Amino acid sequence: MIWDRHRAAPLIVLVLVLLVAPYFVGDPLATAPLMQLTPPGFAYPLGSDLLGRDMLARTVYGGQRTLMSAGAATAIAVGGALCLTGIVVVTPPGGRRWLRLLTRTLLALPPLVFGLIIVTLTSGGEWGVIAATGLVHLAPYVRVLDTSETSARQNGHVEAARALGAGEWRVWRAHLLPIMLPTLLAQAGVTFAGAILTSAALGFLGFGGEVSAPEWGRMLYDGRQVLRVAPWVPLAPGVGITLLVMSVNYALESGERRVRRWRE
Amino acid sequence: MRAIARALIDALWAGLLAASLLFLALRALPGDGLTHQLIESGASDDVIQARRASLGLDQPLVTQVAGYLAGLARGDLGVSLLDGRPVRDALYDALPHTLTLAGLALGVGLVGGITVGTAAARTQNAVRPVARLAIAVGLSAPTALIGTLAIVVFALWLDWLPGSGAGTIGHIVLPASVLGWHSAAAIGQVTAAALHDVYSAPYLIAARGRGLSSRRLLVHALRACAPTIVTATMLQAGFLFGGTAITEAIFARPGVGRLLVDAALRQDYPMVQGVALWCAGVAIGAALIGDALSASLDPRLRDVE
Repeated sequence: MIWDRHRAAPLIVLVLVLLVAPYFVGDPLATAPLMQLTPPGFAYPLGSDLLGRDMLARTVYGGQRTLMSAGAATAIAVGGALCLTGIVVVTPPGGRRWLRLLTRTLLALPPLVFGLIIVTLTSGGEWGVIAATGLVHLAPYVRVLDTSETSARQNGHVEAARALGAGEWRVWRAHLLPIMLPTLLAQAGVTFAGAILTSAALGFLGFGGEVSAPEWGRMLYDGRQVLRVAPWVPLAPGVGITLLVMSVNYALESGERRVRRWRE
Repeated sequence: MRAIARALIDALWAGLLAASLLFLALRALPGDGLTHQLIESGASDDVIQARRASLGLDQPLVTQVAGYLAGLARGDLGVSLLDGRPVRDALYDALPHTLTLAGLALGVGLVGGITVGTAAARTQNAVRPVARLAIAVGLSAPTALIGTLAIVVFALWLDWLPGSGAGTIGHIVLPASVLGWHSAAAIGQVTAAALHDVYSAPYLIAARGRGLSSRRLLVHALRACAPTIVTATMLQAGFLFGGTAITEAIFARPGVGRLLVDAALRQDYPMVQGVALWCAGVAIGAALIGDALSASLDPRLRDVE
């Protein structure tokens, strides 16, 4: 089947749908007091919530928002990790030890606990959650970068380049980076999947932006209140998160196979 | 012995660094929660100054850090900014709930993880795709969704178990299973990957050639995977025992995670700091135990000196 051969297909389809669909659905904020908690049907394909808001519109807009904020958080994590490693590469050797110690310390904190600390510092808000999500996934990325760099350095051509007088920066950019690139891209995907889950968890706990905004974590929380009478309210955002993360993981497997084949 | 001593010293360093970083991060930022709160409640400048002085917030930062670390050595985590309750007492009250839940969830995760990981790697029939799907969903679905679904199905529709609160044995079954599923997926993934590698190792091919039954082979292989499984399990233990904010929120249970979320929502810095420090300590300790266990299971990991 098509998704066996092109394993990135589910992810691409899902992302395209989430990007285009907001133009075809109604207003995610419009309330309709008379239509509250309508079961899924003709008027509301995914039902409506306690305020009579269209769950389909909210899920679609929430998905777009999740893509954006998880993307921004991934950019913070990957960019930050590259910057930190770049600084360590051009500074004296002692820097690497400190970076490793710092990474180990940050990795000691469970992701959500670390995220909650950052959110406390930034006193919530949409950007607070994005910053927290990005910083949570920074330390794991630094560690992967560090490990793959250490193993890439063992290649003969790296040593040869250094013997020919290439500087640290030149070695890193021209000789190490191309070897590490597949690993770094794959880890960026892992970070993206993790960022979706972390920001949803923070939203579920009540952090991030206004209360009414369509945000998947927040919608899960709202759904908990009306669970007994309207289980479709938490179901839509929850299934959205699951499908998105699963399709990212599925696409990553294909990348992994391609790299393995390429190495062999 | 020397390896263990070195690991212990490393862990202490990481713990000390975590404590200082947490303190600096939460205290160095402009505007502490207390001042903010007092200004909002309309207190006069004198009152604010007096309150800050009584909590030592007017001291230089270095003095504050030193004082905090000294207090830590005596087991003093400071007091809550909101009700003046010692952070240590609040932690002590929350711990039993979190420890029971985390312990049970870890048990579910370990047993379930090894089972589902073995099924995903070694079974031939229809079990295999089911096991792989269970792992994929467990890793992808947010705990909030699984918890919510569990409440809908087992508490509301079937009415088998209570969906919220704490106290009886029945109250802990659902939360422990929901948490355990997530850990089982993580442990299962690692187990499946490790088994996959081990089964193509020469010694296992040799064992098969000698005519060992597939059950004996599996025992062999699992024994070889044990260090990997132990490491993954201890990582989960570090996360679980540090408090499980989401699960405690869904099932309305008291516990360390709940304490942290409430403190974070109200910007109660000493409380956030104390709970976070506990989490870091548990995770560092769990990793240490994991390393020691792996070393005792795998002679190659022992330091040859």
